[in-house]
Amino acid sequence: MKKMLVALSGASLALALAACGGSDGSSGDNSGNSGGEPQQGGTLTLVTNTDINTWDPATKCGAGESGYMSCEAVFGSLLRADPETGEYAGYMAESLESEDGKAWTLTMREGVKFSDETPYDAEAVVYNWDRIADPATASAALTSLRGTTWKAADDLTVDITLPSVNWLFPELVTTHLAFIGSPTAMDEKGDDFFTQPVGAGPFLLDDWVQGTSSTLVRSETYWDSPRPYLDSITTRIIPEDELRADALRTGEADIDIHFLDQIYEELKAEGYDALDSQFVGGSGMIINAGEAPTDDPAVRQALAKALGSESIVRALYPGASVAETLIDPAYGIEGLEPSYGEDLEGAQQLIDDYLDRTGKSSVNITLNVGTHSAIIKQLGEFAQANLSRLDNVNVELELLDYAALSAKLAQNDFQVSPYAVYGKHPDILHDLYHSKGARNFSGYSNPEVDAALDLTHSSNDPAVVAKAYSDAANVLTLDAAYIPYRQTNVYAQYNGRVNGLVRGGSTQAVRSDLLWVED
Amino acid sequence: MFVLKRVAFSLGQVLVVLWVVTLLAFFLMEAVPGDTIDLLAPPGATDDEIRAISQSLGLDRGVLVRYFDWLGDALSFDFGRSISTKQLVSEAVIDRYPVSLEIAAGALAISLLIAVPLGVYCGYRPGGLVDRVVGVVTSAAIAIPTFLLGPVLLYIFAVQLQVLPLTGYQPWSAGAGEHLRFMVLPIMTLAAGETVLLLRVLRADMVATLREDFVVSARTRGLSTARILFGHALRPSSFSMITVLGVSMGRMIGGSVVVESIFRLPGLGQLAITSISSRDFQMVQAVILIAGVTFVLVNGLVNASYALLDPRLRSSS
Repeated sequence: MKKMLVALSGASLALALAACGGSDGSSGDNSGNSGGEPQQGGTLTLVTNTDINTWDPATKCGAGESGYMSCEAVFGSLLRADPETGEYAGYMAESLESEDGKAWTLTMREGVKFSDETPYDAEAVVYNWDRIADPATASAALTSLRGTTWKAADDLTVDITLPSVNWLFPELVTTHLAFIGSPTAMDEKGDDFFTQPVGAGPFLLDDWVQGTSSTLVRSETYWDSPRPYLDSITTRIIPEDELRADALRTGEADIDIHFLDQIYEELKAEGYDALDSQFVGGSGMIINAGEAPTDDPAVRQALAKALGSESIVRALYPGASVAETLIDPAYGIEGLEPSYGEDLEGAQQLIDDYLDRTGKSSVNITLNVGTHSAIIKQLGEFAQANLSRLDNVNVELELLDYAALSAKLAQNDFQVSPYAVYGKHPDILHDLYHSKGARNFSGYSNPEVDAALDLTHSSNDPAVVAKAYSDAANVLTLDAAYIPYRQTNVYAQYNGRVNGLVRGGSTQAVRSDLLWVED
Repeated sequence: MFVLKRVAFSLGQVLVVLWVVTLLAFFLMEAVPGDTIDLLAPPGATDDEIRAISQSLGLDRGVLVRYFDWLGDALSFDFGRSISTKQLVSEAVIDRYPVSLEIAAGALAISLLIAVPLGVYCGYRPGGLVDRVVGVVTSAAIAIPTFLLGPVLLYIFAVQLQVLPLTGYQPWSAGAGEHLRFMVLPIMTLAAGETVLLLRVLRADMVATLREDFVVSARTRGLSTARILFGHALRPSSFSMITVLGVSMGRMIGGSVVVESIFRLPGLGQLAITSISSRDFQMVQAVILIAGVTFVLVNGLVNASYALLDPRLRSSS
């Protein structure tokens, strides 16, 4: 009974994993596998745009999607979502089971050890999750754990009680709660642990120069022998998309992680295959729904109708697809309302009505745009020009560096800002748009959306969950809570010597333990 | 006694400058938008939770208390830990300082190697073919900013010719040849602008010096051209260039930030960029302080070199 329930809880994820496929929506051979027997040994170089911040398992190493692979390589991950079926399955842990969706049992594998030879057991999980719950750790999962309790029932069992039914709890254990570091090493090393991490994953950190490169070497104590196959993996940080593609072309890199369809097409034409998947919500504009004037749905709808997604994609992202719906169509969720298309007349009418209704003479909009990426800055300028076509709408562009922008977003001190609804599971909508969502920094609150998103947690019927996501997305679309403009793909594009490229399941990250090279 | 007073005065000046540097290093980071706590605190964190994060980082203390604590620790080269990576700041600085120093020193050496002989020759034959060609080339070179020159060199040597690596770094321990392969393009990129500047300054002074009476006298005594140029005229023609050298070091510290970012070199500049992005104020403060101290020391050396080059300064002392 228990195991069946776990499988059901993972069924809704199958929706997300449908997004794995060719960039044209086909489901071609995406494994990057030559079909041969994995070869032991060899080294591989991967280039990506951002680095890990710190090797702290409680903060997922502070990594974005591109740094996730390195973090998982060192710490392993308690669970994984099967990239084929979408079902959650044990990885470093044996299983996570529940009969009611509220009381969960995490069972650890016997004999698994950290690289310092201490046991990877229930006490280690409790120690690490306690750190996450300590505000001083500043973990992003802090708010997700509110009301949740856990304790080690024995060496291999952690009993967990959630404040309410959540059949998607395994998703949290696959992402924010996934990484477990050695408690002994943390106690002994103190803060040095975060530059000399000790995990139980397939690789050990050998060298790290933040912002430049890191080198991981094979762990001889890894439990799932003969994996990993590689002797070492070097990750180099190159922020410029074109330079990373050149690194692949010149043979300096074996895998290029990137997000641009145009580069994908160019490299594909040159013979480089790719493993790709989609961001669940693509790239768009997040809007502050907590403050005037964008707290008024009519103003948000007007912005959506005047943004001009098609012209933005045509000018800035050649080869990319315009986001037609809030959730990427590759996820296979039916009944999704189309996003607002360009309708300048309709937008003007909404603004005029708003001004009549409120007695105001104009609408002032600030676009808060990061300068950390040239293309995002151009996007801001483009959006400013498009929105300024509306009469009585003043659009100001506020350019901010990444830290200042992040702080503004976190503090709900923004108005309209480019944002990617990244991640691979639609549960991100719960985080962002449920009124009690862990990352609801737009201040959006709508009982209809809350009810639908609550259902995605409380039901373990895949059909009900899919319908609930559709309902939530449709209200969000009509409300213009988020204006998607582009479907966003993550590509792992690789040369001929790379084999065994498989996505981890719940994230876009590639599994390090399965990679092997043919020399 | 006079010398002691002069040394004490100079030392006092340096200390005041360094103190101002510490003020700038500390309070600039306080002034930039984007609070560290806002960045670290998870969305939806309660006031108590935010207070706990603040306390764990020591940010709940007053700004002046934090400044004087930091200053006291900095005097013993203890800059605390990075709030982002948790690495010891002093360790990170020690790891990365040699890379930046090597780029700057390498660029300076290359600049001098090119600028001195060419500047001397162009000053010796102003308006000649070499002088005109050099004039055109340097005019073009000075018009290309570092952030453009770097990618152009990368495209030519790494992408098209594939004779040098695209980006990255190998330490000396990987072998001198391998190390230098990664350093050639960054050093050339940084050296380009400075070479032009030094060359032009030296050429102009050389032209003036070669019109001096003592040079005419040397010629009439039948001394060789090379001896006149390098033995007699170069030294008095070098004062302006050496003054520019001091300024150049400051420009190179700034330029290394750009170069290290383009070529992804693990130097202080790249550390500064990464740390500013994450509002890692401990790290940024240390980088600014170390860069400031380096600049002050280099300028001290430049001032000292005047006395070596000009006997009149020694006698006045």
